Amino acid sequence: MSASAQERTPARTGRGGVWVYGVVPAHAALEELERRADRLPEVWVVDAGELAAIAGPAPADDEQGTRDQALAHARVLEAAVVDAPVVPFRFGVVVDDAHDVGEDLLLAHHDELAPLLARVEGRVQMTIKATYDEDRLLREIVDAEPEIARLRDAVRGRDDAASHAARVRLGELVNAAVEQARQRDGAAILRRLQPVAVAAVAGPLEREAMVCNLPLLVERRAQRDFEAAVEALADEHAGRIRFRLLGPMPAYDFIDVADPGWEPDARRPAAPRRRRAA
Amino acid sequence: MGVQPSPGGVLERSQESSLADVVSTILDKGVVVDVFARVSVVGIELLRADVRVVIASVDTYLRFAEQVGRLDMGRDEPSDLTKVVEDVGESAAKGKGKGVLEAGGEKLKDLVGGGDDEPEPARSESGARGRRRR
Repeated sequence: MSASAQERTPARTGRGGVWVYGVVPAHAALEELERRADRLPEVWVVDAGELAAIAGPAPADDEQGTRDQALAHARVLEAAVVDAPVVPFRFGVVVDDAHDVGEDLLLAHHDELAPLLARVEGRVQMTIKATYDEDRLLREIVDAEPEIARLRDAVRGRDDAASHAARVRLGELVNAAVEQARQRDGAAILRRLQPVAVAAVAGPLEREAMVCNLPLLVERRAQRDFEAAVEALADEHAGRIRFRLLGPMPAYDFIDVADPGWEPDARRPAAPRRRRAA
Repeated sequence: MGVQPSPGGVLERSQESSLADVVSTILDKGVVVDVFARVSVVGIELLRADVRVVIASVDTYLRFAEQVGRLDMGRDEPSDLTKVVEDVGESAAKGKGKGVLEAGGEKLKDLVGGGDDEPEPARSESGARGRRRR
């Protein structure tokens, strides 16, 4: 039942137990995973029934081990998703030595895992990170809002206590204007991508100048169209908004059973910075 | 597969994910079923803190004010605001996420709390956003 897909130098001794990266269909031909073997940690594939787990030794229990494993986790799954649908597992979960990946995970949980796998069949996640050129955005804002321009001139060159309140007020207005721009631009970006994506969620902003952090679920067969649409957006906004495109990757943001994020109402503007309330 | 940079285009494609990208991509996401022991991985709270940004504080306002004030003054220094998570791999930005650990806080405790070296007892576990086992 257990088949070793990769045989390489053993990883550093970890805490014991088996790290699970994710689940793929049994007998999936994970050629890209093989091809990148020398750049990835030791992994093996455990087949049981119609499912297979990509697994490996648990990492060293220190900070460097954790950082290395974060990269490993993403990169192993990134390689696997080139060839097969992948249900990604949460970072930091391990099957202890008392349990068996085939029996206790794949067979015992078949009825939960199989539908998830079916859900991501033929689909991958692509994530767009769009970021303003901040100076350009701020110039737009100063030009467009007389009150901001006025306050800017009033506090210019002053850094004393007397101007503190005015500077806070100025920054507050600028912040609100940035937020408005973000709502507007984020919604426009999302509208353009809806025709070439199955679903989208609003990811948390990672920096203040970010327009949106936008994970999208994309059909593999539509991937070229999707990429062309993103390229067109990047060209149109060149100099004002910088676009980065990550993926294809497993559908990390769309795998949740209770809230998969792909109902129609999940296609909301990308502006909210919190993914969801607690 | 299909991961070429657009020739001559301005879209940035990553051949391989950076640690910063990876952390924001994978943390708190993915499936957990109850056979698993979730391990308390050392340093994960630092990874997590690195990807959080304090937004809309008075400090933010003052930075915006300063930046607007020097717009047109011929100075073209890189903005502080754009560097926040650039260097997630190297800087253990311990205080950066203070006050903005929102929904992740509970999971953070699950991951890093308790007996550091012992895998936590297996139990029914919610997924990234409330996945429940029947």
